[in-house]
Amino acid sequence: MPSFRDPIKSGLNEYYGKLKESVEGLTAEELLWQPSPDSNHILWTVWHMARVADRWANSTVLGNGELWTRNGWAAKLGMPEDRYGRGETPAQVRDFPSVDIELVLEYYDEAHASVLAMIDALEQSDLDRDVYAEYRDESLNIGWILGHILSEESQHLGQVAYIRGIQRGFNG
Amino acid sequence: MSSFRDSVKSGMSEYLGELKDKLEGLTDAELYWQASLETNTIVWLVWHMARVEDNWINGVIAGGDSVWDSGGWAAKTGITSEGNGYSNTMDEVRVLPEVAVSDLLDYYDDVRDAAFEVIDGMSEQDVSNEYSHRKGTITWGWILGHVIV
Repeated sequence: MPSFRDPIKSGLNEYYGKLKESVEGLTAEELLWQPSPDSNHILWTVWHMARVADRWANSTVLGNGELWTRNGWAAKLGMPEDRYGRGETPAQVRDFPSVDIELVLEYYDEAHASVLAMIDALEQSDLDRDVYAEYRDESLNIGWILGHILSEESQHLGQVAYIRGIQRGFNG
Repeated sequence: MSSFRDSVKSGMSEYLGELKDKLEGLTDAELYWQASLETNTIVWLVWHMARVEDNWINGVIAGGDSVWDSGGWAAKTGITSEGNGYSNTMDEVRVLPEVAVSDLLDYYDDVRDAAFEVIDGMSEQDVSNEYSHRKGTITWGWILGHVIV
């Protein structure tokens, strides 16, 4: 049965597919390149996007704990369990470890799948429910969160594609 | 009661709101600045974003005129390009006429009002309606997701 769940899931799959195209073939140097000292680099942005998907779905909405810790991704990447990206300083972005993008994308595959599964499991009556996002210290409505994930991830995708474009040029 | 339709609209409201925040206080020089010779300007991106939403939702889904055409926005902004910016060359990006970004946002607000009426008028079944596109057959549901991405 078609429903307005479909455009949300379709948008999520579209941004994620485009993200993979946008990082295809980039060297470690290109992944860590910053257009200005205060800009994020692609590797940091992709990692943060995965963390965003994971945290919203598995921690904030479902309350099951993040895949980042539950499935050992923090340890595999050699990063702190509480590192998320929000509010980080330019120095933290610059000092980001040169982790393997393939490993980050494996984590992201799991996080992305969990967002889609969450949407399938949600009933319309869940959308009005408020959940507490501890790291933001605010309660948010699940219906709002669904639109927010799409909007936030799309904005970050645009940043990744733009930073690639500055380095690689038109169609590069 | 909230619905998944409301989540779609909420995501759309959020990105337009953030777009307006990001434009706040920028000078003309900043709006027309390019990060490299082959990157788009902010003003081009704003125009393109509004045109994309307009064409997809008010044009394709509603099957009517775009707000760009019905509202006479080409004349109001002096932008004569007939397309929505898709596959523009860098020269086309560079020669976008000097336009007040506030006019583009007025146009975007009109597009958005019309688009929300279209979305409110859709049934759940309409989400699976098909449209034949140069890239293949797509659904109205795909279009709504695509506009946000």
